[in-house]
Amino acid sequence: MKKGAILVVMLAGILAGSVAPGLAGFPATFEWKRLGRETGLPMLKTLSVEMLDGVIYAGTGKGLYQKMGERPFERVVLGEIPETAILSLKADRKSRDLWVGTLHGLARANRGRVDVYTQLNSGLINNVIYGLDPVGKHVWVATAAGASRFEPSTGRWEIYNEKNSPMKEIWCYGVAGSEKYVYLAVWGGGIMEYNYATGVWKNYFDPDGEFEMDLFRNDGPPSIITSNVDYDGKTAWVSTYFGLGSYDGRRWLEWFEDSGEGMPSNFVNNTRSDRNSPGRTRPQRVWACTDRGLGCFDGKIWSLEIADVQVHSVSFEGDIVVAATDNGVFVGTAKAPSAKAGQDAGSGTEKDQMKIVPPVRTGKEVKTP
Amino acid sequence: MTFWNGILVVVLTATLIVSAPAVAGSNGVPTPPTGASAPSASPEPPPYAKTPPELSPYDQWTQPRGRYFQPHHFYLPPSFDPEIEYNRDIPIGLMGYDRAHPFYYLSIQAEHAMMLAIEEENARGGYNGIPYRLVVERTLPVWGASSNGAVAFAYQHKVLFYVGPPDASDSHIALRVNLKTKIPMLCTYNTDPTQTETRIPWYLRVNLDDRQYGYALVMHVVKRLGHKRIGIFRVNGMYGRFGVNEFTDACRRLGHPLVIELRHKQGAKATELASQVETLKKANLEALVLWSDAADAGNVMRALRDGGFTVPVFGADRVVYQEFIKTAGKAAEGVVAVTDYDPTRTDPLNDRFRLAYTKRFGEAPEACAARSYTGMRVAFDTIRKVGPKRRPFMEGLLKLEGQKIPTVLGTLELDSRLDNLAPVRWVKVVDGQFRYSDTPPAP
Repeated sequence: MKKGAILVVMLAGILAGSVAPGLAGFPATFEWKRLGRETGLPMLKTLSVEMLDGVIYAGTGKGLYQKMGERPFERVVLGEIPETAILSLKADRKSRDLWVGTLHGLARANRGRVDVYTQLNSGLINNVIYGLDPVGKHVWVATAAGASRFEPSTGRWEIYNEKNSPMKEIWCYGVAGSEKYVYLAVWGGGIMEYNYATGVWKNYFDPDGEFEMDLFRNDGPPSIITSNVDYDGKTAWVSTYFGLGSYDGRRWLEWFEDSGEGMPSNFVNNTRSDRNSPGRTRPQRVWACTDRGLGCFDGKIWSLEIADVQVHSVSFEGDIVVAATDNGVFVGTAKAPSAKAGQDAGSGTEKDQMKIVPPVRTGKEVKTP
Repeated sequence: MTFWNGILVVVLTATLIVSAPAVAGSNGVPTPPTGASAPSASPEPPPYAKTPPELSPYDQWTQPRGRYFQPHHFYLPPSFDPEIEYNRDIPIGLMGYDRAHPFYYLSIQAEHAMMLAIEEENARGGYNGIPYRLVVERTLPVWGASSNGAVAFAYQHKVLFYVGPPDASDSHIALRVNLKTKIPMLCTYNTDPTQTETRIPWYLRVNLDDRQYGYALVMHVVKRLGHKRIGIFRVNGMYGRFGVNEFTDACRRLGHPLVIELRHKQGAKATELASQVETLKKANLEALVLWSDAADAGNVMRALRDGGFTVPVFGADRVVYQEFIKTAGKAAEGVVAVTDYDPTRTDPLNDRFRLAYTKRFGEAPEACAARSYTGMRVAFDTIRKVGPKRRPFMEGLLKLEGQKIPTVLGTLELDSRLDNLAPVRWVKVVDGQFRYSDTPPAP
């Protein structure tokens, strides 16, 4: 009978393994509510999202929509910009401006006023805008033909491309910064770091130089093809279609779907750290928007928060997290009770700095031929 | 053990296995449950893109942490929005150029071939009686301008798919737009190897790329002919910049790094190249490889031969156009180049295409026309199976991975990147004519 029981157990194990859910990350730590067409979205494909003063702004494939409280989503008309895809949204929390990057130009929305900047009426280098970030007195814009920097108080534009910076390619897909450093994610050009103090650019490439492989772990950005970047004042987080990397000014770390920490997928569209989320009382997290769902990193492992949907963007305010996906907008709240303010979390304090368990460097030893 | 005890053990075991995330791995990080994601590392990976073993990067030294583009690596995330319904006609795009553009000689061939393929398909009734319609967006010769064209295809023309531009400087930009707009792109004449190495699952290439051309050239020039002092003369543009990479790396891996790499500006005349010719003569080369557009390569050859440069010259695929022979004249004699289209090949598909194209446009088709026609035939065959909807169409294309498809180009061999790995064809200029062969011509 004992042998029979062992056999039964083994069979059950095999059976359970074969029917286990297709879960790449650890179990979700947030509870999620989905907002779809029934809430006023014109389509489910939502490419960008931002929260400002409790309002959820959703950048869909058919224009910008806003949701205030329990009211349904309402269209935000962006001047002469047609009904188009909104690829990036970022709020300037000092001026309360909402900056909107579209396939047809840049817009600034604030209390009903909308200003539109295009490649024909301003210094914007290209109308196809993949990323933007209000940084101090500037707004940085990553476009399909280089980066533009706009100073709203003076109206001054500057352009960065292959002619005046070490931009290997000109296709900029993300930008994020502080008043010290600005990071650009450049497709085929790795990460570019701009130092405000010196005005000098510095490049970071995947050192192995090959697209079809990753030679060593933690040796630089996972790939020269970068899809986005975020900078939380301490760490630059870099998304690629070959994994996710971080750079703290001294060393690079990398996470992959097969490296054991639970990354949902190597195909990461976007990444964002919530370290500077205003009013946050829960611990800091870093988020990865992938083609297989939303990953959430606690410094050690990745939980799979939203599964089986492509995620494009994520944003935060207070302890709320909102995600833009191919299946509408998701709103998340932490399952665990929030830490007391200033104890385990709290924006801007040193305690708030997430402790990262450095992944082990893997790769076989180099041999002498 | 009683029956119920047995059941309890079974249930507990199953539960444990399903919910067991916290198995300590290396450095104390627990191991997550596995399932959806296939690991990218493999103990015995297939050779990437038919890379000859001696040209595989780092292989002499170590094995990489992970290898990408393993079989079935593309993942097309589910869509939740309804597809566009095409009721009146089905628009298909071409991102082309106008007459003033240096790549017009390529895009006009693509335009003609697409017109022919669409006319033929419409004569057969289109898709269930719905005709196809060609929409051409002519991209400006400005780096980045193709992004606007890609947006127009999505929002203005609402195409089912489009044929991308020939130059990587334009097609990379357009492809990234497609990731957001979810429009498939067919590549029929861009040869940049990195174009299919982005993991964006909205792309299929029917022509060979510069990785295959580079490997073929280096194996012939270095291994077969034994040349050790090799130089490159290329256009200062993306075609040259990305095209030579694999050839350059391969030369180094075979122990014969390039002696010299010189560039010329796009559109340079033969008379403007005297200083480069002198530099090349002083380099004491045994072989020179050209990576330039047809007319530019013709001007380069004239400058080289007029300047007394007698070293054997080899060329990449854009040399194999009549424009090259027309521009180079007698200086083209003896040049050996690589291509993926042999118009002299006897094959019913090719014979029929050549006749139809020549009858319709009054000139014989060249490689770019054959490639574009091939792409359209692959597309129509797929649409017939899955219908004129973007995502099902792309899913249909993804199913072509690993298949061998007979076309006017020959048999396509689509790998895990949906890139063609068919054998390279060879060309030698003899008596002012291209002479084609399946193997490298004798010196």
